[in-house]
Amino acid sequence: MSKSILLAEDDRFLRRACETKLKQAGFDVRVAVDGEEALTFAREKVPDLLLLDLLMPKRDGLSVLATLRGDAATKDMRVVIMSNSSKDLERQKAAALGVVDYWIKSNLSLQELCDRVSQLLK
Amino acid sequence: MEKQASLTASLREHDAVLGGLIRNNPVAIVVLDAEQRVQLINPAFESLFGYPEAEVAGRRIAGLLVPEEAVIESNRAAASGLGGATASLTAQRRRKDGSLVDVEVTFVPFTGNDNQPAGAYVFYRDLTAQRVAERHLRAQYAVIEAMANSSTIEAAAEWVLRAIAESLEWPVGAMWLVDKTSGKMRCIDFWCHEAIDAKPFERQTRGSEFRRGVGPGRTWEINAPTWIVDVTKEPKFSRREAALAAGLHAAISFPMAIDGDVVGVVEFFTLSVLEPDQRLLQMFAALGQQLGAFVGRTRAQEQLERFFTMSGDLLCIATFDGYFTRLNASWHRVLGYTTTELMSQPFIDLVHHEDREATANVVAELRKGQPLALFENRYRCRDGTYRWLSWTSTPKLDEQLIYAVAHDTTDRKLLEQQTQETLKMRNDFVSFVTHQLRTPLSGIKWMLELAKETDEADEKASYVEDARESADRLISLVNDLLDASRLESGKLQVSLEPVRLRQLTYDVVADIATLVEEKHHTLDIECEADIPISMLDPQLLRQVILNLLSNAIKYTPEAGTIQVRIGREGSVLHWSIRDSGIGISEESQKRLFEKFFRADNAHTIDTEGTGLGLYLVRLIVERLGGTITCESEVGRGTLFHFTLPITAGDQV
Repeated sequence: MSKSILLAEDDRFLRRACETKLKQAGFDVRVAVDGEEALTFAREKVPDLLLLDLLMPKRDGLSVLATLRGDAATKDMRVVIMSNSSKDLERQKAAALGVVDYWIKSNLSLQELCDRVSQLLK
Repeated sequence: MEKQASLTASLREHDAVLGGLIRNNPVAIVVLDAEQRVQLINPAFESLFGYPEAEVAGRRIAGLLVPEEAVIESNRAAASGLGGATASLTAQRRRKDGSLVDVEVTFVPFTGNDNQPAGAYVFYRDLTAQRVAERHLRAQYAVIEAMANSSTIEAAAEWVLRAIAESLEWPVGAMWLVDKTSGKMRCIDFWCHEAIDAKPFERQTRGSEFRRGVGPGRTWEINAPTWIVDVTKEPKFSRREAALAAGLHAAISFPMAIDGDVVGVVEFFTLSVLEPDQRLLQMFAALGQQLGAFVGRTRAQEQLERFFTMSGDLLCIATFDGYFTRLNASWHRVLGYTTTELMSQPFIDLVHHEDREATANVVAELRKGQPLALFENRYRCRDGTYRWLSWTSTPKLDEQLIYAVAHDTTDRKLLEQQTQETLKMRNDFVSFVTHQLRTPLSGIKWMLELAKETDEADEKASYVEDARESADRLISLVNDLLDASRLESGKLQVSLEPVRLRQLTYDVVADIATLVEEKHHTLDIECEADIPISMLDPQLLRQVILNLLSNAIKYTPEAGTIQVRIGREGSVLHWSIRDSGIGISEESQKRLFEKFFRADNAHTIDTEGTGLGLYLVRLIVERLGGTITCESEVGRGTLFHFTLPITAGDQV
């Protein structure tokens, strides 16, 4: 059974690219277009990995993450932040909320992204 | 006559030794008979009172020498003396020429052969020299007192002049100070006895300036007292006429000098012609040294005082008990309190409550004798604001005083804070722009990666199309940044053309009609009939309208209404857009037109905004000579309204 990934990304181009690549690699990918949706989908079915953007409409990534950590059902969810912001403060906040990693999107090729996800979910 | 002659004969006969003593005695002596008639005088008596023996022999002494007002006292002494007891008194006696002389009078009675009182020896000791010495001493004391009670020579001048003049009974005095810049002496004070009318002389003296070597400047030049016996006989004396009118004759002046450097001259005038008096000259030389030293001392003090006064820093002396005892003017300037207000309360009361504990600690250290540097605290101003003060303080244990200098560092701190804020803004800007640039760049990069990996033509084309759209977004962001930068620096070229505002608005609306349709909005345009053509920059104005329209469409939930109104009022164009969107909080409205500012609820709709749109709108409208305002209520909608001047053109 393939591993499940929830991809929370509001930019439609980035969302499409990631979704396409990860599906090609055989993952079960579900997408959320804003923070609210991300929270709803994550609660509906806990994914093996949440790829979480930070700057999103309705609810930002850190708020989604904090909410998930406060809920017994989702508190141990594996989360990787995928952002284009390299602010130290955001990195620190994310680390404090126990994320697996923090990736800068523009610094990764889709292949690298896919390889890292595969590595994590091995 | 016979009895008298026999008495005289008997005296001379009986006491030849005594006669010799009387005759050669430097003290004035007269021998009186029992009726106080002059029997004998010695040469010293002659020279003291001016009477030759022949003129006084047989006359009653009281009628000769005693001024009317002293007759009673004199008679009492004489009666006592003739009564058999030695009597002594100091009194004034009149000379032959009418002048008075201070004398000590001693009556020594003697008896005749019958042991009855026969007469008296009277000794007159001339006290003139003693009186003069006393007057000199009095003058010196008075000058010392005047110096002790004054902080500057200018303040002491009147008292010095009065002290010397009154002590010596001279009617007029003046003080001159050397002005090193002009190389001249100026009169700084003039004193005149109230009984003398010397007004013209005073005016001329006060109005005169003398070079070294001229007039009182002669004393300056030779640096020694000068004595002019009679100025009215001196053709070179420039104030001669006025001196003559005031009845002044002798002029005595002496220098005030510090280490041989003359700083001023004091001069006096007398009503009579007066020959030089060596003792006076010596006294003046000594007084001149004292006054010179005083000037030197007070000037040194003045110099320090000047530093104290002119210092921009806050200088103070405080007691170990915690009160200021001395403050310079900067305290008033910086904090706004009067000196009295500052000194009437413990200084700790003026310190910011958060800094009080630290201040009390350093004061405790100071009281142990530990100097202090680089301590900072805040002092409350009279208007309730606070100033940061940076302290350097030294305690003086024997005086139980703290000497302290405080520098007002408020402005520096503010600047540091502003620099920090600017720096933070720049960092925020960089990280924000970085984020905004990375997103479309990632889009381009990943779409091209997907396009490269697929062999299917349609799929490939679709990825490339997405890459192109991402690139457009990137370009538009870069252009906005560039426009903002050019508008900010004033480098953006404005090219004015005749513009029909109504037509331009319709054109922009047509360009974005699809966006309006996608969200099912209703868009109305209302335009007054007489909108004139105006000279405007169509490209810039188009950007303004496009940004405002895009915002209205974007931030209005589906099926909203958007109304555009175009009108005129005199020579001003009005353009406004009202939407039924999410609105903008009052807090956000205040900062809405700032660079990179995004309303607190903007993220809920769209994360691609750069915070540049409304900033550019404001810059452009202002550049075209107009203004822009915003009214909004959260959840109800927003109205943007801008004006533009009508500079030329006819009606549409």
